[in-house]
Amino acid sequence: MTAKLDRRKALTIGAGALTATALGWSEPAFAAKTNGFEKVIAQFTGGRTPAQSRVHLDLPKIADDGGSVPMTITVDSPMTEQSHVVDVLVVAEKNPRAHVVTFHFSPASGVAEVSTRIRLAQTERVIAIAKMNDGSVYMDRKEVTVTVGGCGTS
Amino acid sequence: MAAHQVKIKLDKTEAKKGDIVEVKALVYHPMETGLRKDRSGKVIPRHILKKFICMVAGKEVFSADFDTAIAANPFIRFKFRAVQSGPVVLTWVDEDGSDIVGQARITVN
Repeated sequence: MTAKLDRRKALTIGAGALTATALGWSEPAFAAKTNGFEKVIAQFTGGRTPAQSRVHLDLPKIADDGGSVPMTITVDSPMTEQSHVVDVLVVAEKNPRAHVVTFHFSPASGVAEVSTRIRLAQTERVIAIAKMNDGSVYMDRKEVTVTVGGCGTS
Repeated sequence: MAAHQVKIKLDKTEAKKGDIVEVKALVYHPMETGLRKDRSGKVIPRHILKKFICMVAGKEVFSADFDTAIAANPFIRFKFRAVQSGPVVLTWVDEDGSDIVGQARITVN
């Protein structure tokens, strides 16, 4: 019984994949393991591994509405000419598009702190990476449980 | 394009030199992802604000590159260091090539 169901499922998936290939979709949703967030991060960091400090990514643990999730990011930095945050990248691991937003700061910002509202398609991890003026990178990561997805795929 | 309404609020309009000023801004915009379909199954075309820039007294203090994952009616809160009096100009750059501009003013004593 179970074997039969598995076989049927496998056939369905197989057929779907064939259709997708025939239609020229290079990244069928059910076959793609990631949305390419690793690549977006690598481009931003230039291959450096971010240290897990200085960045505080504040997101709710549970979001009822994935269409509008409040997010605050704070980066510990004196924000002087000598030492300041330049860019902060935010990616979502399972959104249709990995890139969420990139913030640009300068010493004129005074404080590296920003809030906005983001969309999350499903329960997933969000990563914030800060790049300093000396090129060093820092990160924070939070998982958000999403009750109703919000990337408008329905 | 339809007129977009902008709301801007500074936590203080007068500051001493070196004070940190908080800006809250909201702009009415659908931020259509291009992934949604209407009732007839047609894809609703993508239409988002791509960039946000804040200039204070002619100097850029903060900017952001938005993407489809910014919620509709984008809200943003950030801070800047008050250095000199002048206009606080917020610009949202629409993908369709238009700009939405809002303004406030900071007086530095």
